[in-house]
Amino acid sequence: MKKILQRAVRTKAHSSMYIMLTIGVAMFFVYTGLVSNSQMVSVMDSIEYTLPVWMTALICILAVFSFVYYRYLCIYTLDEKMKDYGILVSMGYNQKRISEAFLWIMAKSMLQALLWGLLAGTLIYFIILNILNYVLDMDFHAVPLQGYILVGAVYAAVYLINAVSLGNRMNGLEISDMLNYKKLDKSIDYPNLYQNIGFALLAFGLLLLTFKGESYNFASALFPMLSLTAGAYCLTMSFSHWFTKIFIRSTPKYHRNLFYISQLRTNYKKYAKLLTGCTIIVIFGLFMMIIDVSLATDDGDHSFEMPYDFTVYMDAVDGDDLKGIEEFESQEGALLKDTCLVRILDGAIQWEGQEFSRLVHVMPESSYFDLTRKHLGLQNGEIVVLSQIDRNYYDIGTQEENGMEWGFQPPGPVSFLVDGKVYTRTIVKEIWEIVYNIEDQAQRTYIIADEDYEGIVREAGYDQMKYFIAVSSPDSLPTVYERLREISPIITAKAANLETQAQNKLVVSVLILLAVMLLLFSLVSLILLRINQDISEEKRKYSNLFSIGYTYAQLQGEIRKEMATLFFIPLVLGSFISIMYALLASSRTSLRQVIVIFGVTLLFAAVQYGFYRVATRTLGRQYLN
Amino acid sequence: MQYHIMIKNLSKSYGSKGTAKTALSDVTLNIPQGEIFCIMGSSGSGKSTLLKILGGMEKPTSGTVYINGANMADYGQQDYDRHRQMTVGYVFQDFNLLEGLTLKENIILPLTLQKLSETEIQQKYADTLRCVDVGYCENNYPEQSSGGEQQRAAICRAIIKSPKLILADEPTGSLDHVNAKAILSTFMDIKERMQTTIVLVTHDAAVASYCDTVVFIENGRVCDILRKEETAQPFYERIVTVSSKVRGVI
Repeated sequence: MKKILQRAVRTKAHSSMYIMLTIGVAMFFVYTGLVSNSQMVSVMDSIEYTLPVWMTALICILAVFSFVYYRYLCIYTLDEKMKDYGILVSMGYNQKRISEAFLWIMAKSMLQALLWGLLAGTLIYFIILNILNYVLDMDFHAVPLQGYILVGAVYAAVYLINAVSLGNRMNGLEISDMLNYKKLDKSIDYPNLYQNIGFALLAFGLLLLTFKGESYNFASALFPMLSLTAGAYCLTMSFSHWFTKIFIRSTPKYHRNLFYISQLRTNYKKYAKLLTGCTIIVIFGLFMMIIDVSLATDDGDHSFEMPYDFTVYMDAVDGDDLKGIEEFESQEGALLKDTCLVRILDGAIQWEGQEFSRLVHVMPESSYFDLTRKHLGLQNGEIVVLSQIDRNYYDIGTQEENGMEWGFQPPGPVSFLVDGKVYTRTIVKEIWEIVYNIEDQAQRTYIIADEDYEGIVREAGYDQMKYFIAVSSPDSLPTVYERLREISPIITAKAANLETQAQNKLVVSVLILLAVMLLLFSLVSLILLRINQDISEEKRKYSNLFSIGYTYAQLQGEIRKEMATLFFIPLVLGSFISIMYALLASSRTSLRQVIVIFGVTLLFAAVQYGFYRVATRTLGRQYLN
Repeated sequence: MQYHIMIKNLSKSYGSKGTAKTALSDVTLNIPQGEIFCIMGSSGSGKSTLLKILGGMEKPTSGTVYINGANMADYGQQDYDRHRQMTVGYVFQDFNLLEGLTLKENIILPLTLQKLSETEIQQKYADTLRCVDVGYCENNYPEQSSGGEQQRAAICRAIIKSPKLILADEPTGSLDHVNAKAILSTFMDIKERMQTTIVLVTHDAAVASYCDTVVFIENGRVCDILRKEETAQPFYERIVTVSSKVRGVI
């Protein structure tokens, strides 16, 4: 009896869905493993300071997505079997036992996906570590125990929450509901209301962006995005309702598209929630890609970010070094536009309760004066924070505190580490100015009194000098570079540095792209699963059309129309919102940014087009067989 | 010109050589113009296959079908498409209406393939309603309509293009007795008004008794042909007798 029940309760395999889940587990594990490895985090930070943040954000997104994906997978699997379960219950089988049997099947599938995913993830993780060890000449070897625990905990939670919800759903259904489960109307109530709210939220979000005012902060960034996303949600859910109106306006169009209208009125509601998910993924995925690729592409305009072409690093300056610098300046004077020798120590500060890991420069006021010809009048114990960001280019949100306007660090006591010793001083001011080459936009400079600086140098036992050089013409770059190598072997060139930063940002772009593609693939696979469940019903419809007089070409055209709706509506709506946000949120939009925006959008469009072609061909063969 | 269907030595097989299943075997029939012609047989006898071949939905394995003097074997794909669009109207057992369209939209759907103007479509629709009245429920969706209303809408869809040939596959199979009778009366009405040839498939002797000629098909072969020469009741009894004999009951 038990075996018969097991056979009756058994669900379809849906291997491809579980493969997607396994891939999701593997990716989740790899990202988690990398972020929980402190050595790795330091390297990531040094490559690109935003990298750990992106990784953490992607992990959160994957966790949420896993929940949503698994939920839909369970719901669709249950949809297929609900009528069978209804028949079993009507014959006398215990409803609760059947739901327990179903949940046990889902648990086994989830466990398999988890184990295989962790295995694959572990393999990928150690391959990545070995590659990094080889490329960066490091010694990463930590076993990502936290990764295993977190992945196991997240997916256990995903399963348990869904199991409780689905179990309650199954046990709460009447037998007649189970027998007629497929025929339950799943359309939204009040589609007209959704439509109106959707358009209103869309317009409101665009208005907020257009009239965002001078200050651009978290709220002014978040609210428009929330409004636009909510608008997209409402419009995608009610799409069939308002899109049909376009056809009804024109009688010839209406007649030519009667079958398509019929499909919108019936089939669309089955996919509405999934398409809404796709739209939201496109909005955020595209937006993240646009921002990151935009940062990663070098437009060749370095002037406002790094005023000098070369930075030469020296530990203190003795007589010979000074003589070398003087000779260089006298001999190559015609090639040089500006030079400046300054003292800067490397330090570190704590950030958000962590160790002293965030790098800072520490500079005496005299060096600041050499660079800018400005006095700050600092007393011992005081710090002026120098944030080297052009406020005409970036919208920096600031706050007022104790008469001081600050953006990155509030006034008051702060500790910093130099050469293993912690010093506590007081921040009295923050200024925004680009005065010398800075490798990392997030890095700040603490300007302290000269006497204070001397004290730190004495305690550290060393001094660091940086020699900044700006050439008068790009043609002089190779000559100057060769001459500077005679002074010191440690030189960074502005152009090379920025190119490296851009390449590092590309690494982030690739990681974002991988995660977004996984999300899109998974949702598309759910859509195709849903379509597959209704194959026989759809075949009958197309056979019916054939009998009326539709040609094969016309039938294929109808299939193309329906697939285009499924695959391009999220893209069109999502990319419209992302593009408008990217264009309107930026205070100045360059041609380069526009090219990046449309380039990234085309990439997404190409991926969706690939899905569309595959789905259209496959379904064409199945429906028109 | 009188419409005339001539079927000669028609055969249809499915599958490859080793596992081929014969649906029709050497069928020869003449279907006169303007008649209600019934094909009767048990499930799997080949009657629906014959209907599909007449409707241009399938091609025979061998044999010929002449419709109004034209040999369907000479048809190219475009000719088949035109045949289904213009010549034939199909009525199914389970109506096969599109759920997302109202009854009216379902009815005018075939005309949208002919690129007619709005006025012409409305005119044809009005003419169709004179034969089969569904005007009172034209704005309902199929799920809001009764079986009889849906089948009448399906018949309207079949006749709106003024076809020379109507093919009905178990048109009363999903209906109760009262609605079935109403549908059969509708077919007789159409035959009188439009002089259309109607080929109807059924396994129900009561339905067959409404027809002018009944052909019995079993295992893909024509077993017997009865012509109606008397009233319905005696004809019904003859049909039952022959049907039982054909199926080997007597």
